[in-house]
Amino acid sequence: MKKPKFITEFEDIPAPRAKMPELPLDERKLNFTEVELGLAREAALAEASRCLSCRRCIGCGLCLAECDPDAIVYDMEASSSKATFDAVVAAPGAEPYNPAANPALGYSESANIVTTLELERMLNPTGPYGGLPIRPGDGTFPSRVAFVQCVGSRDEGIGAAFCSSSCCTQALEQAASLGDALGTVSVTFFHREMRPLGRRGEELLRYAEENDDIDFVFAGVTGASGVDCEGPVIVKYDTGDGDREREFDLVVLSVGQRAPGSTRRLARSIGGKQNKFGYVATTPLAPTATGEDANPVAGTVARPMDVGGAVAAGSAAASQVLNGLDGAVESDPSGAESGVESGAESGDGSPVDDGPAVVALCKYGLTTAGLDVSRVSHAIGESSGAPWVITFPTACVTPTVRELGRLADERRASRLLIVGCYPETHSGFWRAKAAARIDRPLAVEIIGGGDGADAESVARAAGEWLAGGSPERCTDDARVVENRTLVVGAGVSGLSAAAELARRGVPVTLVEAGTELAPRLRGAAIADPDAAEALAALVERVEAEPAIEIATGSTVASVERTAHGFESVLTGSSGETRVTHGALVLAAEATDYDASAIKGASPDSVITQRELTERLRGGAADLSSVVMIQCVGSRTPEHPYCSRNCCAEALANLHRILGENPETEVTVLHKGIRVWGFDEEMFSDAIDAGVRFVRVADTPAISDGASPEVTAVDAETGDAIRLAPDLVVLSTGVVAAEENAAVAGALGVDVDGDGFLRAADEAVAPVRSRCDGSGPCERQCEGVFICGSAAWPASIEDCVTQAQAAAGKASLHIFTKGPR
Amino acid sequence: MSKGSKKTETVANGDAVAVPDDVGRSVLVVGSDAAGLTAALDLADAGARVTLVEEAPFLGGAFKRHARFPGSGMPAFCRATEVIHRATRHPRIDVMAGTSVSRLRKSDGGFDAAFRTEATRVTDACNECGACVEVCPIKPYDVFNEGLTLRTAIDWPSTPAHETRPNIERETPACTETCPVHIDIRRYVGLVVEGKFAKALAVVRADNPLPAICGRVCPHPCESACNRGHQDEPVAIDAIKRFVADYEASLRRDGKLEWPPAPKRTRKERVAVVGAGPAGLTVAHDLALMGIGSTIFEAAPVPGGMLWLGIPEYRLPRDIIQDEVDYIANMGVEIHYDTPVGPDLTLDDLRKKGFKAIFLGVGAHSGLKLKVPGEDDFEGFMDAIVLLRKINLGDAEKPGNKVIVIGGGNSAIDAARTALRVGCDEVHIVYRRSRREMPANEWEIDAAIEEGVQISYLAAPVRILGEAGKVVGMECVRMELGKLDASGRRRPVPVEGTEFVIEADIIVPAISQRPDIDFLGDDHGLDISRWDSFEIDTRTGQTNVPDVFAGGDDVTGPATVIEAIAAGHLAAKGIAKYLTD
Repeated sequence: MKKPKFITEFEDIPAPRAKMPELPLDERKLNFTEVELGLAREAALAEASRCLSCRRCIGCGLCLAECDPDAIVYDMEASSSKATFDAVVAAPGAEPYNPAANPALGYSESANIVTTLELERMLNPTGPYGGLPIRPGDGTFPSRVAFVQCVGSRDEGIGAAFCSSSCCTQALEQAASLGDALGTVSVTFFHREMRPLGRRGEELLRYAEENDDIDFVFAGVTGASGVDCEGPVIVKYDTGDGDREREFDLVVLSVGQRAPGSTRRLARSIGGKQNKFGYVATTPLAPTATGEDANPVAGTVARPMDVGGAVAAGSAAASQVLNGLDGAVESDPSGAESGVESGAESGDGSPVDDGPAVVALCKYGLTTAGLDVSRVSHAIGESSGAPWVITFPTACVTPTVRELGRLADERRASRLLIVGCYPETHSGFWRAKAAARIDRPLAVEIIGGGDGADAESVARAAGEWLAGGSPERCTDDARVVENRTLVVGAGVSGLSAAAELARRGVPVTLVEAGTELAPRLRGAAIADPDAAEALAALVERVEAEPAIEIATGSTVASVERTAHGFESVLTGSSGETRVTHGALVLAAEATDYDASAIKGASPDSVITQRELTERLRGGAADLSSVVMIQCVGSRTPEHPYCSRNCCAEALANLHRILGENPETEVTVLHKGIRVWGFDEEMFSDAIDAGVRFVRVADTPAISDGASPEVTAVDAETGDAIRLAPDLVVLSTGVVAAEENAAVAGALGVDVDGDGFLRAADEAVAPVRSRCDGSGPCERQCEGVFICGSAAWPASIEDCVTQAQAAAGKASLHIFTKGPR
Repeated sequence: MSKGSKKTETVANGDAVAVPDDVGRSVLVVGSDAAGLTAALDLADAGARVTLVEEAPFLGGAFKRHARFPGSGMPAFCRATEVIHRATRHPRIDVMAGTSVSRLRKSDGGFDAAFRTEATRVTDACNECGACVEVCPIKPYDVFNEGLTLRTAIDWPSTPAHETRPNIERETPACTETCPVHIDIRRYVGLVVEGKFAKALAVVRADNPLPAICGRVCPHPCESACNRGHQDEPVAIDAIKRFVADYEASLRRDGKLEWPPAPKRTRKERVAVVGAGPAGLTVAHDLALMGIGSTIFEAAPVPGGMLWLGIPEYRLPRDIIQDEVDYIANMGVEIHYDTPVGPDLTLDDLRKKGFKAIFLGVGAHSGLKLKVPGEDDFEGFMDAIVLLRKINLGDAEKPGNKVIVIGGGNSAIDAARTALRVGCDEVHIVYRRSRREMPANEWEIDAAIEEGVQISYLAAPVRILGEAGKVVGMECVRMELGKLDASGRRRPVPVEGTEFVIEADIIVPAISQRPDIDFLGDDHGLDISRWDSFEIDTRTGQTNVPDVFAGGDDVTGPATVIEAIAAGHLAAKGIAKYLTD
């Protein structure tokens, strides 16, 4: 942590650090007299008085005197307690890398060199500067901001040969926020390949690439320094042709993640192991469990990930615990009531009487919803004549809540209206806060600024409530639902979801368009033999599970909502089947991009990465040279997204080739190598093994004929490349499965332009489906869950994690409604 | 905090009373970041009874500090508020904030857990009026806001996601937290300001029996953590410690102060301590305070272990070591010099002599091989540990005229500066990386350069050159940071054709050391790691042989004095417990 220099409270204690007196240099020859002479009495006293006593409570008693309810107990002691548990879920979170460990980055020296965590707080409206990103050194607005990526990540020298996976997306998000907050600001990314993760990450990267104010420099940053608080910060970097320097106002270090220091003890306690980077060890098909007893672990303690990944992992881990419990799942309505604050319940918050109302506007909520606060405020005043319309920067912060309580008391108000908050999620919060503050009954209502709302419609809703009406709320009538879940797709996600549901006691109908289970993944796609074996075992388990009905060669012909969930019609070779089910998991895995047009006339010497995986099972043929072409069918105008797994698969395969025949010349033509997490090591190892990585501007061309020739243009030098390898390998991407979109469309679930399903919220509700807005109400997607590459190209770990999470959520949905 | 905790009830003696479940089974969720909160809510919604433990005073971890989650339309804290609120109010979630898991163990198909909950110093009576925050005069950095601003000693960030009461922070300051033996630094520095030097030294001694030694050679991690460093430079804590220790020693030298009386021996058992290094001395010191007698067996003719044999006198005068050893000897500790444990005095012999426990604090005195051609072939090639030991035991004859030291750690610098002092004409340090990576203390490197040591960075030894059986020089190759590779890295690689020769008649590798455990023979039965160090229970210092304990460099590999002292404290407690049980 670093001191912002414009905070002046410490200026009362100046005095520089005492200098240790030393023996003069010329007296040090040929003797062993002590060099450091020790501080004299006065110097020691002066030095000791520099101590800040660390500014913690000194027991002065001032607060005690002010505390009305006598709630302060100075000598309260720490307490210890013991308990026994049936299960433990380990989810200790991650620790950020401390950039002070590398003095060259100047983090400890300059107040204007900050971490992404600090910028996150600065951009937060409840943060230290009210949401304004300013230079901590002098409080001015920066106009030139640099992001330094991979600080403490992808660095073998410090034992972190892994990608922290979440930093690029976070930095891109921050760059966009900086633009929003400051208007004009130029942003430079010093990066070693941007690796955005997920849909939002890619959208942000595209936004940044198209934005003239944001530029990208592929470089190793060798240092950063700021001379004083007012001056600029210099970034030193190397683009491969020598050292350069550039000046910025603010430098942001994108710090990587680390497993927390407590991991070792925790892993031991639960019978788990650690990998070589200190993270808890898991396997691809069991990504949220560790050790022989498969104890659940969740989140960033197992591998670096973003918030959405951690949330899915939390649900997946929770579900596994419930598997292990006998009869813990029961339809206790109190759980549902307290757990899910439903809009239906908040809707009946009709006025207790027609006493005065206090209306609070949340500026932050309204602004993020794209509404002009003063217009909303004005419109409410106009239309309702409400006497007290007050705008707060953020309505729910503690001081504001306190102030609202005071106002309501003072004005003997009986009603409280919060405008610009989220009724679906925050009604419980506000009702509890109101109850804690006010002794009288206080009716609370929240009016949000949802999609498409304008100032007038918000004001109208507010006016109606103030006049005694109740805003329209959607309700979900299905109270008891069929105890069955329909899982669409039997790839790794669908299989994992089905297995998980069956273990939770939910019968499953598993529908797969292909003729067998795991059509894509059973054979080739899993390069890791252990994972392939685990998948085969999963297929066997699903096949043997009596609670799972398998319908291969079938598709969902129609689906509709009923009083008890859904009714679907499956069509297959054996005709039509009708299935009633209480929940639906859309899990049809994305399929391979069809590269047959590119392979042209030489199908033996031009193959796909997946075909190579298969071929390598029989050992690497005697190849003297191989060219791999990345992003075939990905990151193109037709399919603008990254397919997530092709780089990792290519690296795994080339290591297998080099393992058998180290002399093979391997060239990888790429548009930027994107591997996340621990796969990074395969990349650095490949470079060390002499693999040639050439960045190309456009997709390389392949000539027809028995011995194909590959031509491309080196994106950095502009040189033409002409290669005639023994084998050309196309790293083909994936395209969204059609089955998901067909079902989703019938239910009003949002599908993006590429055919992938959208989550309700990719960060905090990653496996709940999102409504496309075609229906009348937000709840139309209830009971529909999504996972794996049905939602977005995903790694095997992510597929399994999300599948287990979706299964957990589907079970919860059925059991809280009450299974029929 | 834990509203209506049905799971546990703490009673005065720390024991818990188990209360049967009313619903479902019980699950402990450790950590309340995004994953932990989600897991807790999913579990509780499904009927399980959840205890959610978070080390920080508030739930949410990094989750609630975000401005925006990637991919979420909602501002992050709006989401976090809602999730944390639900977790806090959930009737089946027991929230334990400010709590660490002090023990977690499998048992009967489940888990036994013990917790420690820090005091908030605010009771349930708090009405969240905020008056305390208004009046608090203390202004520490606001950790929740990454230190970008100040708050008060009342930790109560004004974000909406706070469902917990204010927390008056009286926890350990950063310096004490970082110190391996957790000296109450703030207290003794404060006592120095008041001129109470004796009291200050007593505070130091409570955790560190070697204050004058540490005042000179401790790498003082406390200063790196010192919050004053954010302002300008850290407080010179180590120099203050040295001052109070030297002050007392001067009083004693002048006859103004007597040795304190030896603590009373209350126990009949005696403990054998092998090695009079900082770990062994600490064990003996602590045992004496606990009324347990001990005898130290030291192989060398002098005390201190590496302090005497490895650290040069210009950094640590011998009378300082002797004085602190005398202090411990005066507590009733017997020290036998020139008494190696080995074939003539085995562990079994010690047992036969009636020692009820044995502490092994033999250090790490065996230099590692360089692994370059020629290193075993010529005279004039000697490890830094050997060179320093020879000179530190009084043989001040210069080993040669031109010396090359290989390595970048503190012992490389010690060897180089020592060589200059015994009259070597030219001293070279060859280090394969750049100065930034050099593990030696910054100030030691500066001093070495000032005194005339030449340092070749980014140079690696290729082979040792010799003539007529004697070293004549060393061939080196320049290293440079390689080209930016496809992943944007640069790493040191040898540059072909840049080989050069440094003439020398003495070559001193100072790569690293490992413990030398040959003295134990073959059938000692102790678990040994592949680095030749002892495997111990890290809570007690006990080895797999119940009456044998170990600590210091022979467990950790080469480390610092203060870490050895910490290991000594741990082992002394472990031994005392072992003797009592």
